[in-house]
Amino acid sequence: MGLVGPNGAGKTTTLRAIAGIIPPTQGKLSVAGHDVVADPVAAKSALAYVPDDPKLFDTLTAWEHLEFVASAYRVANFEARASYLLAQFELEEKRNTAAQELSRGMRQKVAVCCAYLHDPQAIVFDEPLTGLDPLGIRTLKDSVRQRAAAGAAVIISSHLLELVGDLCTHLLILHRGQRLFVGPLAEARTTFAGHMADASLEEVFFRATSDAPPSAAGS
Amino acid sequence: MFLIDPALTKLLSLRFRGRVRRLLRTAKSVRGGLFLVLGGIMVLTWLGGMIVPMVMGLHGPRPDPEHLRSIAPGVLLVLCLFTIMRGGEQAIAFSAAEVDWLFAGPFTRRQLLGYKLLVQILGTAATAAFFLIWMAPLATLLVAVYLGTVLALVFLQMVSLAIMQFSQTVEAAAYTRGRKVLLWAILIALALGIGQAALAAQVAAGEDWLAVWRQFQHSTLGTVLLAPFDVFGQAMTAERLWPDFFIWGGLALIMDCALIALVFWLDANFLEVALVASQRRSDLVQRARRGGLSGWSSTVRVKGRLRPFPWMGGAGPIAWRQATSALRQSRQLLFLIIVMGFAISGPMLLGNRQRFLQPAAIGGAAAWITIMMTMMLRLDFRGDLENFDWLKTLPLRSRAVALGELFTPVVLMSLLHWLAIFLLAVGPLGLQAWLLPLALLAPPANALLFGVENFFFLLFPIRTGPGNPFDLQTMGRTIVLTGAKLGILGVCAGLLAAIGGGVYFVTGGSVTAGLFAVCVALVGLAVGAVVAVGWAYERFDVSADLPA
Repeated sequence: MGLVGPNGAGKTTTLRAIAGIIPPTQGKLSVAGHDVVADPVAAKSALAYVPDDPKLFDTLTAWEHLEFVASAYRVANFEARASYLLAQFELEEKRNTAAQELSRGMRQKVAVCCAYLHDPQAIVFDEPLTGLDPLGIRTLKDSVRQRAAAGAAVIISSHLLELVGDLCTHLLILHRGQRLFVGPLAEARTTFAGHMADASLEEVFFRATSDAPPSAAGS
Repeated sequence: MFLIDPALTKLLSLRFRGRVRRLLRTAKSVRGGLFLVLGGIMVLTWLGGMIVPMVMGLHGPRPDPEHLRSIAPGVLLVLCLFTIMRGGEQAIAFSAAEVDWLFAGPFTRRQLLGYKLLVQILGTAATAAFFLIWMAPLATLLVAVYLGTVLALVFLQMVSLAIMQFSQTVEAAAYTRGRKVLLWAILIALALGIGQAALAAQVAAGEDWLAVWRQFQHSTLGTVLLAPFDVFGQAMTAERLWPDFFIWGGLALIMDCALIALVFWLDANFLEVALVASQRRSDLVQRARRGGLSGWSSTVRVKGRLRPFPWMGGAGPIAWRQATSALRQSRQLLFLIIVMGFAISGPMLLGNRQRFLQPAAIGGAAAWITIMMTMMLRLDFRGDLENFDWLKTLPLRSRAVALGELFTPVVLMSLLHWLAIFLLAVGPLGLQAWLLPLALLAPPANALLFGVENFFFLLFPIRTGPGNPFDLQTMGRTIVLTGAKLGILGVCAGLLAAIGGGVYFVTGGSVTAGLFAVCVALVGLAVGAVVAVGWAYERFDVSADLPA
């Protein structure tokens, strides 16, 4: 599912609420059938959250982050899996490098490796491509497709509508804290650009969030 | 279910290992090694100065333990009130990384609380070791002082945390206006009761505040209020391990454990408060890193606008930016000036007024305040650490950037000096002949001071952040840099004295000529400082890993 909306729409707040970082003010949030408020440990055990700008523990190495995550999510014999993930995201050489010495993109990759380590049933990404190199972008996209094909629910919040269109089957549009639309992408097209069956996601977005879309949009 | 998840204790051990690794890695460089050795020497000197006299029985007469015992509860009560006023949420503020990884991780609220308390207690154990430096000369039994201090500090933190937890719980229950009014009524009645008891004690004891304190201490309310703190005072000042320390220390430990149990039992939903406190702390660190005075406040008022400064070879826009920043932080600046004003006028008001109006005393106070302000008024390169990427891309000469960065703090400081001189001239001192040259010398002297401060900052940059009491490298760094700064300023002062004295003698004792020569030489030194800062800025490596 792609989560889109203008700046200040409430995307990150929504994701942080799903991740159990901030409590919902009303309504109910469930992850893999577990209520985030009533049964937070079970819900969080099934979830992985990759924030917009992942804050790593400065003095811990990339490998130690994986070690901690394995301990927190009770992943037995994590070493082989962790090594595979580091190799997949080209971090083998940085395995023993302290987080504060990693570049922005590498920190992002460490956070993604940690998110995948415990094989979560649901994964939440907030602007996942920020700082990634082209190969990293391709690897991440492929890995998201693999996880989704394996049955994991993936939510991606991004301003890159191309990424959302490329990876997502469903769409949630937020605007000023309100839900404008939730449903399959095709339905979003018919709802907001009914007369244009092949309307781009950009056109859908502008039509959904603005009464007067720019004339250039979708052209 | 464990109070602390094993993964959280693992995280603590990994972080500790990471810190040690980082310390050892940075110590491998010549600079890091030197700082580490000097910091180590400083700590060893402190410890040696504390332990050797105790072992060899060289220490002088100690204060009467009974006297200390009577004072300690009051001191702890005051500390406790301060801790409560600061708010318990400080104790549960998490770092940004902890929020991202632990709040979203599979941990219960109690496990996170347990983790945070463990971190607090470990930090307290380290902090208490530093308290020993000051308390050792008063101690009869070093172990008792250390453990007593740890127990007392833990107690203070737990009281504050328990109150925070309790208020969270009560706030959730006291959702009706009637209940809130009742709660406030109880609090006001309690405050009035304490006030009345203090007043009665003052009436009974007269104007002697120590007698007032004793009277209050022995009143029913004083006895009840001070009773828990008395236990810690007795533990800290114990003269024998058995029975004194074991009994009082054991009691203190039971009280701490009871409070910790209460904090867990209340099990309030502290995460939201913790998140807000964590965000606030994180913002504060970021603002402190950005520098200026913004680290002191959570808001910057976008009010007031300055007209653009002249180009001045590119220095104008840089100076304008810092001046605008100063204008929008004028409240914090005013606060700083008031605090400094009190620092200098306090002794004059409370002590021997005549003694504090001597030129030497005024000069000493002015020098002290100037040095303090130079360190705090970071409206220059020190406050621009996070903006260096941007600064380096500007099409400006490094000297122009240096001049622009130094302009605002120098002007502000000189204005403060002129204000102080004016107040002294119209006030207690009267119009003295030496005040005018002092006013003339202020701007170049300030340029030199800020120049030296920025020069060393650019050569040995450091990020502002939460301190670590056992960071030997930072200690060593502070010693080396302070020594180097004072050394350079000392050489400059010697040079100025030599020039002024030389001209004075050559001109046959002309004070005016001597002062003029000093003024010219000082301007030359200030220009040299700007050039040196420009050079240091040019060689500043933006990509270097800066110590936090």
